[in-house]
Amino acid sequence: MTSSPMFTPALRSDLLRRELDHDSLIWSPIRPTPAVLDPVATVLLGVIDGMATVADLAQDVEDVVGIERSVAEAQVRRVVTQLDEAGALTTSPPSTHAERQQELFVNPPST
Amino acid sequence: MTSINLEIGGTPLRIACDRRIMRRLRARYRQFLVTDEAPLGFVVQPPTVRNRRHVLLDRCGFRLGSASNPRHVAAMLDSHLSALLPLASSQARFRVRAVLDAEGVALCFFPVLFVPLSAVEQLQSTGYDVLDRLAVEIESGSGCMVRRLDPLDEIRGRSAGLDTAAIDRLVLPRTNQPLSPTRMEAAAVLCSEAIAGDRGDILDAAIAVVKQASVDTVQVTVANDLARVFPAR
Repeated sequence: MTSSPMFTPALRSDLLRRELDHDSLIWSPIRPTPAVLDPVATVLLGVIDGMATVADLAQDVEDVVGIERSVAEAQVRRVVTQLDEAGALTTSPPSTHAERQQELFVNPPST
Repeated sequence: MTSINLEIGGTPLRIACDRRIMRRLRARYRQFLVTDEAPLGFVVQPPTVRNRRHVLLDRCGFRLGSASNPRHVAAMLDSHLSALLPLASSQARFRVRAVLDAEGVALCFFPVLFVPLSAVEQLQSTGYDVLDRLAVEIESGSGCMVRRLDPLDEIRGRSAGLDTAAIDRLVLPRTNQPLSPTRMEAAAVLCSEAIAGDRGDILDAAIAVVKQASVDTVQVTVANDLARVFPAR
């Protein structure tokens, strides 16, 4: 599942978080086990404030780190998906599964 | 075979054993004795001509450990029974398999060391002691194993070597990832084996443990070469 650029991720207030060696360990009350976040996800975890959209976060990454917008957006989407799977978000990002299904018919059937 | 009935931390259980062990256990767990027949919890099999060791089994028949000295069997039983006692604050309880030698304690997580009985006996013959399905309490602040001040504590784990405060080695199953696990990944595995405690205490205890312990990984197969887990003595 990937998240829409207009999705606004917000972290659960009861999420437990610990850091060690630039990695993070987060534990949501709705998951039986914690999840490990890599350094990129750990940095993004610190800037998700419940107001910035995925597009805003990608813009921040582009401005601060200086990487291409498409790469920044891909990283943000990856992290948001990872946080969602870890039960760290208050709401899940809308699925683009239906959009991907439409890609199956990108070539019109021949007549 | 005979049995004694206990109630520890609100949990009734029966221990089936021979009369010699029963006398020892009755004296040891005097304040936990009850008269009502309780569900079977553990079995202590007496030594046989073929196997001269007492064998401790759980109620499913799973072999938890063995020892030639009845005192050592009782100490193993202490470790398992203490898991029924209420957990103190700032502590977390983890399920592990412990391998002990003169150098210290290695905590092994399932399914690591889930090896055939012959392999366990091979380990014991080379001087290692294996404690199975063990519950250990870890102090969340220090990452050290806790020796609690309770009636079981006086003898709990002492003869089995678990009075060692610091955990110096962790043995984790190797994952599909080609690289060794990071310390955080090791802590996550440790958390997944927690059986009691507040989530925050479990996290803190797991991270404190991996901060001070070396982490070994092993390939998990039933026919695992144990020499890869433990350096040759």
